Amino acid sequence: MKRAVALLLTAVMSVSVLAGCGSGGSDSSSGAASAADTAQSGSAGEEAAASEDSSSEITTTAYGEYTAENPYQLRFAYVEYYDEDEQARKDVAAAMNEILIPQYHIEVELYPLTWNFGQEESLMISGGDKLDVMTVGGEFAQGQMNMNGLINLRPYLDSAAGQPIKDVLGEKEAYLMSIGDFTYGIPSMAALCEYAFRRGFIMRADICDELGISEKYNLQLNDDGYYGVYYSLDTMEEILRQVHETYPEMIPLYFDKNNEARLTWFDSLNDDFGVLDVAADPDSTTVVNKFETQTYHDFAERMARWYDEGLIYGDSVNMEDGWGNLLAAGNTFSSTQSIKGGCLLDIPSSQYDYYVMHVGVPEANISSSTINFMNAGICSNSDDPDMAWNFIVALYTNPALMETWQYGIKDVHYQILDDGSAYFVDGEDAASYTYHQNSTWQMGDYTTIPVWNNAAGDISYWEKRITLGTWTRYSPAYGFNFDSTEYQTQITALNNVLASYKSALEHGAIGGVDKLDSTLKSLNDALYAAGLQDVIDAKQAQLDAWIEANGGPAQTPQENLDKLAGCTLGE
Amino acid sequence: MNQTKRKGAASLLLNVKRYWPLYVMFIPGAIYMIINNYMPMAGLVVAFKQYNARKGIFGSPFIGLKNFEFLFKTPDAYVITRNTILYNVVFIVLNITLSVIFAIMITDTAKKFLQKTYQSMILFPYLMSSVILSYIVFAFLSSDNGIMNNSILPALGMSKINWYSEPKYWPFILVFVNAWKGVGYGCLIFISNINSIDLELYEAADLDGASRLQKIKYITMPFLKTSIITLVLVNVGHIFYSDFGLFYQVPRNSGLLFPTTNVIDTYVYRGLMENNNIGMSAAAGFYQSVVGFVIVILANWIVGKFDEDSTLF
Repeated sequence: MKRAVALLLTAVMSVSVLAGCGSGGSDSSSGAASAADTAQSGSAGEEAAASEDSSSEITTTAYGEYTAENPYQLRFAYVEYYDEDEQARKDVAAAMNEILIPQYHIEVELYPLTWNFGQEESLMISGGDKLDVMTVGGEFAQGQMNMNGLINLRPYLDSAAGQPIKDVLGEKEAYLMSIGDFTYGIPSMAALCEYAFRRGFIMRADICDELGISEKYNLQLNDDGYYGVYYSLDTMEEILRQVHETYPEMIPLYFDKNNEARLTWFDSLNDDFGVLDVAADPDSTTVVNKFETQTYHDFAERMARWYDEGLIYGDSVNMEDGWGNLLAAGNTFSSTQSIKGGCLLDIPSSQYDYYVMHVGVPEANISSSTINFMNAGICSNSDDPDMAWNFIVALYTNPALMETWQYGIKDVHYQILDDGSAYFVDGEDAASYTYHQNSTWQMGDYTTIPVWNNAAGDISYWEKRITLGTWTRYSPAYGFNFDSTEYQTQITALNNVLASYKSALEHGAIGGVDKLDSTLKSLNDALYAAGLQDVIDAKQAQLDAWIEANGGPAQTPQENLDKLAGCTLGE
Repeated sequence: MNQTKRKGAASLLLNVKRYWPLYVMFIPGAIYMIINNYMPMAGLVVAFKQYNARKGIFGSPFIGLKNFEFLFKTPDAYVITRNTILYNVVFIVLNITLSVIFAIMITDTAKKFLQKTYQSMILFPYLMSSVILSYIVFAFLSSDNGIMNNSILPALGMSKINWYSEPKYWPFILVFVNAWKGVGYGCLIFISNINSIDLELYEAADLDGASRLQKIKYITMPFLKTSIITLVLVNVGHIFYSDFGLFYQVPRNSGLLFPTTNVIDTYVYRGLMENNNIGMSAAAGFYQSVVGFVIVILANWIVGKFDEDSTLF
C-alpha cells in the first residue's frame, strides 16, 4: 500500500518535470492581421483581380516574401464528399499550382478530410499541425474559436484585401459568419443561394395516380420547381390518411431521427434555446422559449395525432436508415424533404416517379443558422495568414482555379458538353471516375464555373434553383450569431434536457395527444432548471446590440415580398 | 526512520542484484507504461484551464474549477451518477457470478471438442461491436417489425410494447445484454484458472468420495478466489466509467429512455459533442479517474481487512 503510494508520487513528480516540454513552439507571432500587413495583402487582392502575371513578381506580407521560385507552401483542408483516386488528386493539385504559383506565389497541398472533419480539425489545431485554409463547419466554429484555433477574418474584410470577396458575395453577406466582432468564415456562394428552409412533401407517383391524388391537386410528374402554389398541412394530413386507409401496411410518411419532419420553422439563433417565432410574426425580434410557443404546440399536437393514427412510421424515433432504403423496400409512400431544383434526381431509389407538394407556408425561410453549414476559414496554425487569405480570395475570384479543384483537369477528369455543362469524360461515370470533388456547397463561388450535369442530361434545375431564392423570406436576425462562450455550462445541460424530449415530441411518440401538455410542461421545467432563462436573456441582449449595429433588423427584399404576396393556397 | 529507509534501499539493491534478469524483463513494460500511461497525465492540467490552441496546454490560463461546473450544476447530475454506479455494481456482481458458473460448467464438460465449442460460442458476443449489438437488440425490440412485438408477445397473448419509449424495461434489457456480451470474456479467465489446477487434487477428492458440488466448493472456488478478487478490484476501479457503446448504441440514443440509460459518459458526449470544449471533456475524465482511484484504494483496503494475501498492492 505504502509502496504503491510512493510509486504514484514518483510518477507524478517525474511527469510534472516532463510537463515543461510541451508548452513551447506553438506561440506563433501575433494573430490577426494588423493594419500594416493588410496593406500588403491589399496588393495581393489587386493582383488576384488583375489575374495575368503582369503584376508584381514578389508577394510581400508581414510574415515573409514569396516569389514564383519560392512560393508559400499552403495546406488546404476540406471535406472530400466523393472518394478520390490518390494519384488523380495529386495531378489536380499540380494543375492548381500551375495557376497558383505564377499568379499568387502559393503552392497548395490538398488535404482531404472526412465527414468527421470537425474533430479532425480540432486535433490538428491542438496538435500544432500545419494547416492554413480549412473548412469551418458552422456547428464547430464556436468551439474552434474558443480554443483560439481560428484567425479573425474581419481585418481582411475591412481592408482592401477583402474587396474582391465583398464584390462576389455582397457587402453584408461577406460578414455573415461572425460572432460578435469575430468573422470565422466566408460562406460559400451555394450557401447563400440555396440554403433556405423549405418544406417539400414528396409522394410516390404510382400511388397518387391510383388514388386520384395527382388529378385532384393537378400535380406535375417529377417537377421539383416551385411556382407559388402551396398546400395546407390539413391537405397533407388528408392525403396521408387516404393512403393509410387504402394501404394499412404501408408507411404513409417517413422521416427519422436524423431528418426532421420539416413542417415548422423557427429561427433557432444557432441552437434551440431561445428562438424567434417568425411563423407567428415574421418581424419579431423577441427571443422566446421555442417550447412554450403556440407554433410549437400546434406542430407537436399534429405530430402526436399523426403518430397515433399510424400516419408516421412507428419506429421513426429510432430509425436512421434513410428514406432511400425504405423506398427501395417498397412500402413507403412519402417523405418531407428540402425541395430544390434537381433534388428528385438525388433520391437514391430511382424505381419510382414522384410528385412534389409545397406544404405549410408559401415561403422558404433563411437565417444565419440555415446557411451556417460550411465556410472557408483560416487556421491559427497558419504560418502566413495573409497568404491563406489570398488563397481564399482566389477560390472566389479565379474560376479556373475553382473549376480545377471541383471537377479536376479538363478532358482528363471531366469534359464540357455541348450545352456548356460539365460531365465525366467518355468512358467514366459516377462509379468509375478518378477525380470528382463537386462540393461547391463547401466554399468558393460556383456561379462562374460550368454547372455539373446531373446525370439526367438536364441542366434546367439550375434556373429552378436560382428562382427558388426569390420565394425566400429573411429572418430579422439574418446575419446574427449567438456568442455562447460564457454559457457553456448551461448549454451542455440544456442539450441533455432537450435530447430526452425532442425526438419524442417531434415524432409524436409521446403516448397520446392528451399527454402533450404535461410533456411540454416537464420539458420546459427541466429547461428552466438547466438555465434556459440565462441563455435567452443573453441572446436577447446580443441580438439587440447586433440590430443596433446593423442599423435595424435584416429585411426581406421587396421583390421577394411581392412574389410571396402573390402565392396561392392550393385546394 | 532514517535507518529503515537505508535498510529499504539496501534490500532493493540486493533484490536487483539477485533478480536482475527479471528487472531487465520489466524494462520494456515500464517504458511502455511511462510513455503511454504516465506522461499524458501531465495533460490532466487542461481540466483546470481555458484551453487555447495557440498557447498550448500549459500556456493556457487557469480558470479553477469552472470546467467541472457542468457536471454538478445540472438536475441530471444525480440521475447519471446513480445510473452509472448502480449499473456497474450489478454488472460486476452478475457478470462475475455468471462467468464463474459458466467456467465451471464448461470445464466440467467431458468432451474436449465440446468444451472448445462452448467456449468459443460464449466468447463470440464479446467480440461484436456495440453497433452490431444495437441492431440485434433492435431486431428484437423494434415496435413495428421486431420479433418481440410480432412473434413472442402475441404468442403469450400480450399486447405490443413500445420498447424504445418505455424506460422501465431498460435496466433489465441492458443488464441482460451486457451479461450476454461480457460473460464470455470473464469466463475465459476463469477457465484458464481452472485448467491450471492440479488434477491430482480432484482425483484425491474422488477417492475420498467427494460429490461434484463439494469438489467445486473445496477445490475450485478457493483457487478462483484470487482471480475473482482481482477482477472485482479492476472493475471497481472503473465503476465511474461506463461502456459507452452499450449505453449509447443499444438504446439507440432514444431520448425517452434517458431516465434509465443516461450515464456519465453518454451525458458528457451529448453535452460536449457540439461545443467541442477540450477543458470540459478533460474535467469529466479527471473526475471519473479520481473517483475511480479513491474507490480502488478503498476496495483494496476492505479486501485487505479480510484477507491480506488477496490485495492488489
